[in-house]
Amino acid sequence: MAASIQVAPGASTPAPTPASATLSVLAWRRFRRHRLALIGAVVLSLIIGVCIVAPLIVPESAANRVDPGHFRAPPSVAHPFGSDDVGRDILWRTIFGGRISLAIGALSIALAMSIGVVLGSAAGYYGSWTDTLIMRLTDAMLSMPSLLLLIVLTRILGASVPTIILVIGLLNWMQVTRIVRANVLSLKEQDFVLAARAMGVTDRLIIFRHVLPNTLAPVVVAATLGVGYAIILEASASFLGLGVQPPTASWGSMLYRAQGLMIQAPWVAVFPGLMILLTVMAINFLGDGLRDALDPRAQD
Amino acid sequence: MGRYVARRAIEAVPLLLLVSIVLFGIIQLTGDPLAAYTVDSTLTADDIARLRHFYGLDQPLPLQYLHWLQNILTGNWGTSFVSNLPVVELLAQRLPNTLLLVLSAYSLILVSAVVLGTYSAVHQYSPFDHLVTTLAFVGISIPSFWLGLLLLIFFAVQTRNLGLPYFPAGGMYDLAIGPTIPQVAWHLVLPSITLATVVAAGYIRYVRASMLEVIRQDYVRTARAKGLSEAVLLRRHAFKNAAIPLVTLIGLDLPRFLSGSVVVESIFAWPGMGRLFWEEAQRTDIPVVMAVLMFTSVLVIVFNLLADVAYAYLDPKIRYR
Repeated sequence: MAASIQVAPGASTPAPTPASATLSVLAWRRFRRHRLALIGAVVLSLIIGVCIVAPLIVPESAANRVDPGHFRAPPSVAHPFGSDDVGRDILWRTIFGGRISLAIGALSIALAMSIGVVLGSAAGYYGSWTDTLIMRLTDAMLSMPSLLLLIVLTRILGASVPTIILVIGLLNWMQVTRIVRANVLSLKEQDFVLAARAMGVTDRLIIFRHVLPNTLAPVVVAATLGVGYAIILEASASFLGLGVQPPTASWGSMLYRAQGLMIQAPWVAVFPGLMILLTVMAINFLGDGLRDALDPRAQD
Repeated sequence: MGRYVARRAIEAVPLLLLVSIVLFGIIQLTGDPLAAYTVDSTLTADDIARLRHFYGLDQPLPLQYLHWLQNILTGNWGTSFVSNLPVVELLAQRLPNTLLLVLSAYSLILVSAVVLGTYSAVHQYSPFDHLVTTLAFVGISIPSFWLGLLLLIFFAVQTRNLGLPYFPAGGMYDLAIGPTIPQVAWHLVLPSITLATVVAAGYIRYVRASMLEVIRQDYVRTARAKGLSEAVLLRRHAFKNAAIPLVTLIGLDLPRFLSGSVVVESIFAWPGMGRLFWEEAQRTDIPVVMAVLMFTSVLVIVFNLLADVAYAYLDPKIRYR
C-alpha cells in the first residue's frame, strides 16, 4: 500500500522520501519508536490470538456450562475469574464473549469503511450536487446520537449479531466519508491526476488506482480507532440489555447480567469490563502510533 | 454578525428535513401500525380498510410523510403505547433532569480540562503530567457504563458496608427528604462524574496540546519579557487562545452526552430522558422512543448552531461571510 504512495506525488509536491528508503520502511521505523503503540499491538494480538485459539481447545459449550456448587464463586484455580450466579465460568465466558465483541467491532467497521470510502470519493471527485447530497446526509447522520439509533434499530430489526454488525456499520461511515472527501478534493487537482485524465483514464480507474491509495493512511487510522468505538457502542447497547441477547455472551451483555450481582460477586462485573478497557486502550495506542507513523509529513 | 447567524440558521433547515426523512424511514421499518388489528377476528377486512383510511395509511408514502411532519411541527407527537400519556408531556417531565445532568457534566469537563490541561502543559514531563496523560488515555478508552458500575460498587456499596460516608446508589433525591437542592446535588455526584470522565479525557489532552503550542509563541515571550507574572500571563494571554474554543467544542459533543446519558441514567436510576428512552425501548414503546430520538437530534442541531455562533463571536479571526 505504501509503495504506491511513493510513486504518486507529482511535480507540485516534492516527495519527502529520501532515495534510500521506501515510505513503508520509514513508517515502520517511526512506528517501532512509538513504544505505547508497540505495546498496544502486542496486547491486541494476544487478545485476538486467545479468542481465535481458545475454541480449538475448548468447545463453546464450556462458556455456557453450569457448574453446580460453584454459584458466584470468587476467583480460584478452578475458575480463575470466578463464576456467575448460575455457576458459569467467567474466564471462558469472557473469552467467548470477546470473540463476539471483537467480531462485531471489526466487521462493522469494515462495512463502515467501505461505505465511507465509496461515498467520500464520490463526493470529493464528482462534486456539485452529489457532494452536497452526500455531505448533508453525513451531517444529518452525525446529529443523531448513535447509541440511541443503534438501540431503536435493533429493537425494530431484531438484536441478532449480524443485525448489530450491519447497524453499527451503517452508523459509523461519516467520519471516513469526511476524511476521504477532503483528501480526494485536494488530490484531484494535483498534476498526476490531471495527467491521468489527459491520457483518457476512466474516472473509476483514476479514483481506485491514483486517488484512493493516497488516502489510505488516514483511513487505516480511522478504521483502527473506529473498531474501539464500535466495541464500546456494542457493549453499551448490550449492557442496557438491548444488544446481544442470551445465551450468546459479549462483554457488554455479561456486564448487563452483572448489575444485579455486583454486591455479592463484584468479579462478575470487573473482568469483562477490564477486557473492554484493555482492548480499547490497545486499539487507541495502536491508532495513535499508526497516525504518527503513516503521516507523510512526519520528519524522520 | 446578524447575517452570519441568519445564514447558519437557514442552513440548519435542510439538515432538519433530512433528519426527519431518516427518522420517518425508521418508523416505516417498524411495519404495519395496524398489524395488531389484522389478527383481531372481530374486525372484518372492511373495518380494517376503513381504519386504514381514517389514519391516512392508504395514502402514498410522501403524503404520509408530509402529514407526519405536520403533526411533528404542531406538537402532536402521539401517545405512549404503554402509559397512554401524550409523548410531549412525558418528554417535558424528563427533559429538565437530563439537562441538569448534562450541564453538571459539562461544567465538570470544562473545569477539569482547563485546570489539569494547563497544569500539565506548564509542567510538561513532570510526574504530574505523566499521571494526567496516562489517566486521560484510560479515560478515553473506558466504557462509561463500566466506570459507572465501578463507582457504584466502590462509593455506594463498599463504603456503605465499611461504615464510611457513601453516595446514594440511584435516584434523584431521598424520598423521605424530598427534592431539596443539597439532596439533588448529592445524588448528582456519581452520575455526572461518570458522564464527564469519558468526554473530559479528550479535552484534557486538547487543552494540554494547545497550551503547549501557545506558551511557546512570541507574544507570550513578549508578555513575559514585559515582566508579567506567570499567573497573569497564563490567565490573560495564553488561556484565552488555548481554552476559549473549548466552550464551544464541548458543545459540539452533545450527541455523545446524550448517548452517554442513556447509559448513565439507567445505571443510576436518574429520572431523565435517557432513562425514559431505555425503559420504553425495552417495552418497544415506539412513539416514545422515536420522540426521544427525534428530540435529541433537533437538540443537537440547535446546539451545533449555537456553538458555531458562539465560536464566531469569541474568535475574532473568523470572518462572517
